[in-house]
Amino acid sequence: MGAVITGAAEARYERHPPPERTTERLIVAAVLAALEDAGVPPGRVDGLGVASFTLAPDHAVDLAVKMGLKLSWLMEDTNGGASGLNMLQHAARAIEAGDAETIVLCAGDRFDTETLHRVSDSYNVFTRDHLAPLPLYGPNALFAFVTRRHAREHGLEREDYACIPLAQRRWAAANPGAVYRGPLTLADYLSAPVVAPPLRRFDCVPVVSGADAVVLTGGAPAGRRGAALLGLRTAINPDSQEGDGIATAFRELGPELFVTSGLRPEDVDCACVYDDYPVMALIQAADLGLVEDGDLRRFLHRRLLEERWPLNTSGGMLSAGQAGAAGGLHGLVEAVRQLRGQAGERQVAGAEVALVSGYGMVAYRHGACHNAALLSRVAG
Amino acid sequence: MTDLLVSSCRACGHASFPPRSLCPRCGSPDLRAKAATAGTVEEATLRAPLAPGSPPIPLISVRTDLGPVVIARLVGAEERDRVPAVEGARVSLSAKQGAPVARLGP
Ligand SMILES: [Zn+2]
Repeated sequence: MGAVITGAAEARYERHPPPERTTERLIVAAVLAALEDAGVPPGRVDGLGVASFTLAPDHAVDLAVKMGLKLSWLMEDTNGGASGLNMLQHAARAIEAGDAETIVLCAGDRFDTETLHRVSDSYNVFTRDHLAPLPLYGPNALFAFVTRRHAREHGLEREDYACIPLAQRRWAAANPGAVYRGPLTLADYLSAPVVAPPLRRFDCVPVVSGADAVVLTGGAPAGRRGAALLGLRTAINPDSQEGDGIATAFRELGPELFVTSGLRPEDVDCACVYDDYPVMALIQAADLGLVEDGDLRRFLHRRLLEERWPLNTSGGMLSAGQAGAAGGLHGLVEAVRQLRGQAGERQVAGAEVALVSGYGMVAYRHGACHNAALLSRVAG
Repeated sequence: MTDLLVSSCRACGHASFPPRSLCPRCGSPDLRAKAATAGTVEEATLRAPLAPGSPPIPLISVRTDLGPVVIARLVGAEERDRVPAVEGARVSLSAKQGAPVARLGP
């Protein structure tokens, strides 16, 4: 039986959480809200997947113990921005195989400045040994290089990349859960404090604390709307970090995803791509087939800014915030809300098909994990 | 300062940085350390400091003559003003506590 997502929720994203809002509490809050959204009592959960950079020393099993969940399926995922869809790939197979009937996937992190620096300097051995001593101060400079390469290859200017944060901020105004909702103008974008040229503040995803969760079952119960998983493709380490970071695995993965799902890019009603930086959101949108004629500038200025094509309708992480590993579930939660008609003032009318992508784990120079999924509305 | 060591495959000659367990091109475990001494700057940036008032960090992406691209810190007082004008420039390479260090010129 095909997997259907019947509940999705986010625990409050915030820049400076009070001390009592720990990683564990944030994740538990998201899980409870997602279960309530799905109309499923915690006692019925028999599968749990968790992703977090800051849950240590606890692991997935500890979360099960603390929530009293009796499980037949358990996983912990460490793939950051690709963790949400990576867990979804495994969870869907577990449901199809009958290993579990009701799975909760959750992710969350609580970050203060000290924790953030510790996590980013000891991200992996390459980072700890060869990047952190530079010092690098997190991945912003690496994506400054990626943006330079991309701008050179496609002849794009800062005014072009600006369309992504500007368009997304307009969506964020209609998302009460977004941390940054105030208007953002081109002048604000161009004159923001420099982070690592060509990147300035609004090119770099703001780190927040928060958590996300979804509930997965085999088919939607009568009377409940759901989001059915039509297809999901993953590419891990396609280039051993030896490519240029702009010709990504999404180029092969996108067409495969549409073929296996029996859909075409023009069938997509809304999309949530992983927007840690505008250049990566643009690369995913283009390589996943959303830029019909390949004209990036036209897509940015006309399609996104003028016509408000629904890309990252939560405001994306660039406006909603990146809550660590929860960033890997953020787009999926928004896509499910759109397909279930729960997106409030930012609801895309008649949204039937959603595209979600994940990207992450900067092993040395760029992300090593890529995945994308197509989901469709199941009427209850 | 020490040599900037890349892993070089004895079977196919492919070089990688940071060093790998197996050659990403041919899969051979027969790798040896080789010093990358020079390269060409592909991109450059100036990372803003975390503490206000501290100087920014000049960082560059360098295509070493051995093949691999490394992320290096550009050192030398006058270089700071020339980022990103150094794109395309030749640099000499070494390492400090494992992190690549680059100086303009041969
Ligand atoms: Zn080899």
